[in-house]
Amino acid sequence: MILANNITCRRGSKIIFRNLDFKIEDGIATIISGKNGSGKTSLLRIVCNLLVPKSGEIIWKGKSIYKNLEEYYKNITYIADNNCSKDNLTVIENMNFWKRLYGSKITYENFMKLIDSLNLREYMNQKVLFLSYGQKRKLELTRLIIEERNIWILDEPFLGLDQDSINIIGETISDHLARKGMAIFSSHIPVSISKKQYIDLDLHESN
Amino acid sequence: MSQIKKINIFILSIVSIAIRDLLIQYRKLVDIVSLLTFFIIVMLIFIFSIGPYDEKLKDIGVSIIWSILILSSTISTNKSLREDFDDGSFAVYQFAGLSYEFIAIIKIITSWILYQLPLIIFIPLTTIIFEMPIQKIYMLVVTMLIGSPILTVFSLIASAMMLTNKKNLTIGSLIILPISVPVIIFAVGAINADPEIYKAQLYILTSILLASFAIGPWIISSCIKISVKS
Repeated sequence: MILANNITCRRGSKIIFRNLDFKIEDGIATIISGKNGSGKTSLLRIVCNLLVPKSGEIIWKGKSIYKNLEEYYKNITYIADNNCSKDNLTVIENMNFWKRLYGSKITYENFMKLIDSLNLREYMNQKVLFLSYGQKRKLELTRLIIEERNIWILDEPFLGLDQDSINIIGETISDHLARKGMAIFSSHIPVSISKKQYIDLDLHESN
Repeated sequence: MSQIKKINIFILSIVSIAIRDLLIQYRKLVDIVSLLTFFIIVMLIFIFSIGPYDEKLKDIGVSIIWSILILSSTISTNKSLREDFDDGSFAVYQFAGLSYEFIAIIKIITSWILYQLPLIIFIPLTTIIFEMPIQKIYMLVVTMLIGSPILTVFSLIASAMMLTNKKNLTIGSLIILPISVPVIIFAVGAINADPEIYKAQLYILTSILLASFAIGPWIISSCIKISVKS
């Protein structure tokens, strides 16, 4: 479980949200909603300590994350709003790189199943440069399975995907939650996940 | 046992970053070729402006080569840091459990291999133009082997400082050029010195190399951290 305690976020001179408290429980998806510029990305970056909040702290396993930062990092998969796959490498090279980088124990069968389920098999040896936006996004989302982490932090994961892929990712997140995993993501698109809670940033807006 | 496994995973992840960087750059080989072309063209410009006087060229050939080396290290301020910053790869490295210091060390090694090693192999061939004695060419290669990692560290420091600055790219060269002055002084000094005393200059150059290795990765990593967290 992750607790966020009294978080205030400031970007430049403007305070985006003030005194935000929430908790991310095991097995329940946390969905962040809000207008453009309401601080969805900032909140996700604060949760994974890529952005330092003006005040407040994130508590994980009963301790502030600053006291156990390395261990906390080793439980996170963070998928940002831009794709970190490299244009000059093929799809399979990118995936193999993530696998080696994270020391993942994923088996070859599961790896191939993952590629098949997202319809990426025929593009396997294609350079990422030639993929469409949606395909790049799907490639990025394979990191969820490859990295085998417990806390999933996703920034607009469904943007640019077709309906089939949205359903598959939704199912993947549901499976992960059923295994006592944590998931927090921002999304405008309704997803079929049974256990979910919402954080509405519009209610915390401050002027 | 689990300790050994952890170390294995760690080494594997570091090596995978290095291999990937080399692979990406290998597929964009035109960058390196254009660097070498720049080198030749500037060298020819020097020769045309001085004129075809053998004696003069022999005297200042080494200085010309080292000046171009420093200039080329400013134009090749490598894009690998910027690309990783722009597409968010640094966050991926961070959550893989790698510290930014290690990433900086990997980047120093790979960008030395990519941007300086080709020059070290290539430059002795171009010295034919200057009709240098073999002893001088040998010393040139030795000073380049010691001096070029220093330039790599400096150019990486500059590009790490400029990660959030996307407009004024000249500032990068302004950071590199002044702090490269000691390198050129002692490198060219060592080549032109008498055989009895050249060692002193080489030792000073080596000490600059070790000092830059000692503080470089930490400067680079803290610059990256500041940019990522802004």
